[in-house]
Amino acid sequence: MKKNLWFSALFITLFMLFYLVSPVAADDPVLVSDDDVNEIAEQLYCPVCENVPLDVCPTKACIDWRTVIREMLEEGKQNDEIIAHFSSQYGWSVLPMPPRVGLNWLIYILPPAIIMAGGVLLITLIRKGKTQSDQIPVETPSHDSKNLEDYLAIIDQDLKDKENNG
Amino acid sequence: MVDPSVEKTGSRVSRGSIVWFVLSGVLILGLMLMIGVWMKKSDGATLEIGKTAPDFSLTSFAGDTYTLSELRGKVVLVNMWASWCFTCDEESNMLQEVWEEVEPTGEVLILGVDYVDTEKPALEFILSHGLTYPNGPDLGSNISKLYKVSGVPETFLIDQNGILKAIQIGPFTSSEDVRSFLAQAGE
Repeated sequence: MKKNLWFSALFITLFMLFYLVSPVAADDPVLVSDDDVNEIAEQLYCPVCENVPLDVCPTKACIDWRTVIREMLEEGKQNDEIIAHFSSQYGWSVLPMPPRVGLNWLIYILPPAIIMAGGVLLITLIRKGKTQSDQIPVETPSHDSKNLEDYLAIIDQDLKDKENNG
Repeated sequence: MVDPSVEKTGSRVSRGSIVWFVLSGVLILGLMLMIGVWMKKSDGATLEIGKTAPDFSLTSFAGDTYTLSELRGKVVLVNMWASWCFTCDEESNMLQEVWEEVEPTGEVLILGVDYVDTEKPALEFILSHGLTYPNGPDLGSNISKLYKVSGVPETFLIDQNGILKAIQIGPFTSSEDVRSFLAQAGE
């Protein structure tokens, strides 16, 4: 009997602890460090001072933006949600890369396509060059060669004459 | 003596090369055309004094929507500003002063467009300067892109017929400066 009473008291205490403490815990703001803010800020760019990532940008606009990131993280927003918010609020110029939509695809497709086409062209030209060099015809001796032989014979004779005279 | 079969092969390759070059040229030209059209499209409408001003819609912080094309009959002064812009401070006081003069006539509307700003500091700016003319955020930087804004403050004057009459780059120096700017709508 005494044991049952002891268990009942323990159960009631745990029950009350659960219901009283948990709402307090839920209301606690999420602790956000500077590193958490910068992790998102480094993925965004200042639209006022071009090409400066938000985590290192010293302007007041960027400081305000970092404050917004901190507030959104404290509200429990995820990194993707925060980046999407900035993109919709300020345009995709704040993103490091344009989104893969519409004609933006050209930016992603064209450079590798041009490199591949260049590679194919280069291989084709090399193979074609090799085939042509394999097919270079062997010239048969002609009357031109005969003339050359005669000419060389004359030179030989001249040299011999010079040696004899000298 | 050259083998005739080789000469024949050589001429066939040349024709193939010509076809290759023509096709490559057409492809490159087509791509350049596509990129050109895309760049022109992303560049937005033309912005030229004397021509129709690009249309836009602005939803104010109070929740009212203003569409430029629906404001024909009124002179519209579009002022681009930001809470982080130091020179916008004094300028907003001048605009407010002029707004208080012109608002009762109903002939002029001053629209403040908040450029790449955060809401809280922007609302604090409006409150601290006691601005009563409509102000709203430039969502997606759409208006600033249309008007090719490179910094703030910048102000655009659009007449009763929707024609862009003047552009002021940088802040106004006095309330009289704002009045002179507005007067250009009637010229």
